Amino acid sequence: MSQTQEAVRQAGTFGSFPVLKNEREWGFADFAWVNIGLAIATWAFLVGGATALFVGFGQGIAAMIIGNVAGVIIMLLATTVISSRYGVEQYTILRSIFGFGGVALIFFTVITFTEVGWSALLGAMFGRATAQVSNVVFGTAIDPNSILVTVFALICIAAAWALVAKGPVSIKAFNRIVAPGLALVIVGLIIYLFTQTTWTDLMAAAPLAPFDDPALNFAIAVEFNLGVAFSWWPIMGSLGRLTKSPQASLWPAFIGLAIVTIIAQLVGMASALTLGDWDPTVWLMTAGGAVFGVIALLFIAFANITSLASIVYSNTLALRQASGKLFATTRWEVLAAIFLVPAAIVSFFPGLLYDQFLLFVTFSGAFLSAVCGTVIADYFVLRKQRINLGALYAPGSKSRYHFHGGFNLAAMISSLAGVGAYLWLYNPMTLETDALFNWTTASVPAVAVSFVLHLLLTPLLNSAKSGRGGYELPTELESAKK
Amino acid sequence: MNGQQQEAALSQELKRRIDIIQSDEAGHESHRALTSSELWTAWIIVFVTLAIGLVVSL
Repeated sequence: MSQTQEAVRQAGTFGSFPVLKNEREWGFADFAWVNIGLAIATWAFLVGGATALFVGFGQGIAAMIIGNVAGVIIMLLATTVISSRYGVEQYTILRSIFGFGGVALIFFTVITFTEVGWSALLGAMFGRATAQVSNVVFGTAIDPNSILVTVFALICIAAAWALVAKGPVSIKAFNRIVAPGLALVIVGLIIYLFTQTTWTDLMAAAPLAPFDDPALNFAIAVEFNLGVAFSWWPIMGSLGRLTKSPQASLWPAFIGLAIVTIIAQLVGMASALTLGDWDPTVWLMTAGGAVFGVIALLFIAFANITSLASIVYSNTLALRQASGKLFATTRWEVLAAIFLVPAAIVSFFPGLLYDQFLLFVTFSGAFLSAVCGTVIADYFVLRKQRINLGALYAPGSKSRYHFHGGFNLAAMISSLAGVGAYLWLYNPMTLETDALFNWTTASVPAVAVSFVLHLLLTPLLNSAKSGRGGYELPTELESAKK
Repeated sequence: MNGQQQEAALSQELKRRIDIIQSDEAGHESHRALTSSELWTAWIIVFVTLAIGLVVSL
């Protein structure tokens, strides 16, 4: 392969070039496995366990279904569907909505905060699972917050980096092995849990640390699960561009991120309510026997690597787009390593990540839900599902997506208003809520506020006459229609 | 091949890809990522789920 051919190949898989249909890796089944691999990691058990803090099993199931189903569909409409249509990763697509500068601002604040946190958490989860194997098999006594857990976390981060360095083909191959194994492990865990308890006992189990108001408990449980669903937003568009069609991106992702996630979360919730610990890696070895326990734990540990690999792939692409010329020529492997450095630093504080999990998820949900509302309003309503690809790649002020100095004020204001609505209804820091929160949650109004406001502000700030934002029909489509 | 030539080749390749996708879009029966019925299906799932949530919370 010549140097130029290699450069072109790199620009497609590891850069921002549109990926053509014949180059795309993932059909319906492949993408379903990728998402199942993403969904079944230790984080799903943690979410299930955290849900059990506020509600019992019956309400917990409802909260998980509502939060994940509604949240995942809204999130997917704002990511994979658009990316798959054009074969373009989401942070390039987002230039048409937030402007070049707006995308950089969002990436280096909200997205970096969210993704560094999730990456470090996955590393810590791998570390704790591995420590548990060592404690049972070798008789060690590694504490969940010990430095050895951090060492294992760093190994996980290094493994994910090695996987991503080879590109999305290796992620697909890895998921084809790990994801079906994980599905079997989940079935095994459910069967085991039901040998330890009855359905009646499970439904009667009291929540672990609820507030006095039952309606508030349920609303927080739903909100928390909505936050988890929205937290997939930063990575899904970059994965979706490798699917063969929008349909092959939407429904497989829904199956993996909503349906399979709920099943995995149920294991965590049932564990927390009946066995006193949400984390199957804690009781698996003693309960399931050494052989099954070790195999299951290894699968769960490796699942954290597959999830982390998908995060690193998407965010490395995003880092290249959002940083302008700074990392334009940096080698892919180096860029992936740069993204992982902050995550490696944060993994030195595994206890902090677990303790602040609820705050972390809801706080990132506040921003991501508002961004989703703006994206959906822009792409599906204002642009009627049409984007001018040439303008996405045109430099600076030459692009119709330059808006006001690189920032689409309408999108930025509407998203901030969505965040404001969220924080008014529910403050994740203080846990203070408005009375409306019990009926509306905070994410759903955040989506609605940013959606409506973007529709109202766009004609005012980016009128079709001004040409700003290219909200008229793309010229090439107009000519094709004539 | 020097950097300038490579940059020109990449620029040409980008244009080629954009042309392919845009002409596919222009010639497509529907330019949309999702058809109206697919989009409605997705929104109906969202609204029904949220409505169930409201009923449970009552």
